[in-house]
Amino acid sequence: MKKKLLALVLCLAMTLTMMTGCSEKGSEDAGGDKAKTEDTEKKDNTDDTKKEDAADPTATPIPENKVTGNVDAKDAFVVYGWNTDIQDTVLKAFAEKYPEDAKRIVFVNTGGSDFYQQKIDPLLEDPNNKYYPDMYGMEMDYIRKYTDEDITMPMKDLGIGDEQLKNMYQYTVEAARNKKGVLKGVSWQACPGGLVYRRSLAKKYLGVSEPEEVQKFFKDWETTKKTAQTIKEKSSEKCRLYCGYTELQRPYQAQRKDAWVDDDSNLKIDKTMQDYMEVAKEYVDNGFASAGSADQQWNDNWSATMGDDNIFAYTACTWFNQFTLRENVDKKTYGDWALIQGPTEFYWGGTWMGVGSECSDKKLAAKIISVLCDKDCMKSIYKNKNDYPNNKEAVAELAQDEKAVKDSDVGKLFGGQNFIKFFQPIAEKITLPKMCGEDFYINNLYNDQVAQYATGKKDKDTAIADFKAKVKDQYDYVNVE
Amino acid sequence: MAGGQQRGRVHKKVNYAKYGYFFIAPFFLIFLIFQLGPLLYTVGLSFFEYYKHGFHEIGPNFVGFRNFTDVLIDTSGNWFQTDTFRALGNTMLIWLSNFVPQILLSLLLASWFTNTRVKLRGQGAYKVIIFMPNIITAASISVLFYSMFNSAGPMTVILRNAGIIAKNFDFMNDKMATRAIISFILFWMWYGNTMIILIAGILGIDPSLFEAAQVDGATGGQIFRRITLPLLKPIVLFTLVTSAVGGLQVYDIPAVFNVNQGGDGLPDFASTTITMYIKKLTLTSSNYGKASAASMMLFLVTCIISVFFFFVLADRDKKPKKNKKAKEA
Repeated sequence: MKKKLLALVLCLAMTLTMMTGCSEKGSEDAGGDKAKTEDTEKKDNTDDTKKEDAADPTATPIPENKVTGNVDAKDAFVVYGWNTDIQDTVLKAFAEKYPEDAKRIVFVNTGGSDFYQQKIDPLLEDPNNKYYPDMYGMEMDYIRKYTDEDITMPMKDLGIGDEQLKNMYQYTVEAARNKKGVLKGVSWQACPGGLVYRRSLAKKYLGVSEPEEVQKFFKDWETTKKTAQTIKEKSSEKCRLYCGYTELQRPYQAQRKDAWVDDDSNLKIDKTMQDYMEVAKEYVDNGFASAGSADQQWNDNWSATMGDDNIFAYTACTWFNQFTLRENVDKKTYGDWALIQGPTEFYWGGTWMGVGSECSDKKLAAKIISVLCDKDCMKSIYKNKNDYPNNKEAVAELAQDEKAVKDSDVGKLFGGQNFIKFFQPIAEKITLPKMCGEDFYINNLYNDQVAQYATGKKDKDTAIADFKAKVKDQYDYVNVE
Repeated sequence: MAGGQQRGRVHKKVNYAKYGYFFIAPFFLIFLIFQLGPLLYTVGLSFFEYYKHGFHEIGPNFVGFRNFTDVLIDTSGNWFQTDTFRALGNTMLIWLSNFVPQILLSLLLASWFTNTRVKLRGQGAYKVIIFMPNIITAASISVLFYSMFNSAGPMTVILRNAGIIAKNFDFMNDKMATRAIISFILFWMWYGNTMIILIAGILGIDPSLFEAAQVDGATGGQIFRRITLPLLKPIVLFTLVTSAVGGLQVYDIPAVFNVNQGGDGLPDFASTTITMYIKKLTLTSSNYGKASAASMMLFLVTCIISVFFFFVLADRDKKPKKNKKAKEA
């Protein structure tokens, strides 16, 4: 009896520790169901079983790695994404306009960029699979991989032509054209970048808090360094400009003249990327940014720092404001954030919707794409998520309505700053970025070496040489000279 | 032939032996289709150039040993300086640094638990507690340790404030520290399992041997060295080989512990194990030929290690003679 009791107590203790050990943010499992807690593993992606859930595709919140909708239905239309963004923007706007068609949509959320490509690639070559991606999101870092291939349907086959695209920002259209100039994707968002900072910290350390004034302190890279030094000194090293050095990556990367791999499969290490390496080290050495692993972008701890008083600013962009910053900041700091351009104009990422060439229903695909070209639908995307729509007319109308922007959720976050108006001229000026299909994985390899250099474990030549060797090892067809 | 002719009635004997084959057939069928087939396919693939550039399949073209030279020799012609062998090296290091302390601690605990003089109380509870880490899903342990030891984690902060590590020390940016934590997780997860096996082994030794030794006035240490250890040899060999095979294929813990979005073990490849590397070659690079060659390397190394153990630890005694079946008079 005693033994049984003891075993029971131990089992209970273990179940409890397990539940506290892997509770996800925002979805605490209070049930004592052990099997359930094992299922909600945050990073355990080895599990390929898909749980069916005939829920309304617009319901929230959606757990990661989940299928919403009935994939076994005859007329199921499968859409793929790596997080809930596509669901909250595109599919929601679509459901508002075509509620009947929206019922057919099955959304597969793979729950992470890291293995998204590995998940959809084999499926794209398997048109008879019920999970065949009729439509899928493509990020800037690997869109080329899909547009250059026949597996993605040209937009003109869906009847999407210049007429529908006339309101889109030019760079978003160019980016989705492949080598031959065929358009194969449409984006609902334009992604000009900026810098978000804390007004109260600016007041404290720089003496000014309004965006126009603060921008003077960040007008170019040299001034930014001086400002970072000021912040460091004034706060007696309590507050630093950036959380981690990876904040510098995207502003630098957007200035590239060459993508990592050019059309003849040669590896190009653009000068801006080398500058990024140097600057990262400089910032780390001077204490303007941390080299700590947990302080780098997309780490859980990085998200947790948003809203504490030790970090002055974050590299931001349109989707970052609504998708990342808003989700992570302390509610107390609402209104204490503001948006400036920062030292350079740049763009950051973006998602395009591509259609599989064996798509089961072209009409429906065309309908979804048409929603992305539709001014009113784009306005509703803005209303739902405060994302920055890829439609000049819609943006112009939204920017006019000062009050609505001020009262929107992201507007409140920025203390009533008209962020739509702010991004307007920057979005107009974005030129077509340089990119290639391998960018995503090569960025990861590069950042690994930047970390080695920034923490002083390697000199630059060794880091670059090791980087080249790693790229060669991963992509055998790339010449690293 | 064994067994003399039976006298008496001669009747047709039903041969029941063949039914045994029916019972083991399912295993062999499944093994042939799902294990041996793919195995041989992998061996074959390692001689072919077969990869994807984007979505274009190149190959399979027969290239002889080129994949093998790719994984054995780096671009400047040094042997064993490739990522394949770096990954193998990482794996061996992680395995060795967890296995050596693991077997020592397990032996110590096993001898304590089975000691007739000590007669530990509450053995069951200890065994359960020690075995428990093995039950938890590996991935969640990994995530837990990552959140404790990353640069902002509570353990790191405590150790910094205690002055044990430098103020800017980061476990996740230090090759050895990252490997050490992975080794520790493996050690902590598996020492209970090893202990249970060793206890079973010790309990299988004839108790009269221990009693005889005690009567002769042997100390505890002597008994352990002269009786327990030699007779435990086969069990130790078993744990060694199973642990080596499992340890070389370790995947789940390092694969979620300190990795970037590309699935590379950070920092600077240091926590990439060979299975993670093979997975990367397969899924990220889609270079099936090279991935097969790397798998063959893993196979060879596993073979070498297992054979080594068998030769070093196997009983040197003469093989027991087959007992001739006694003829019935």
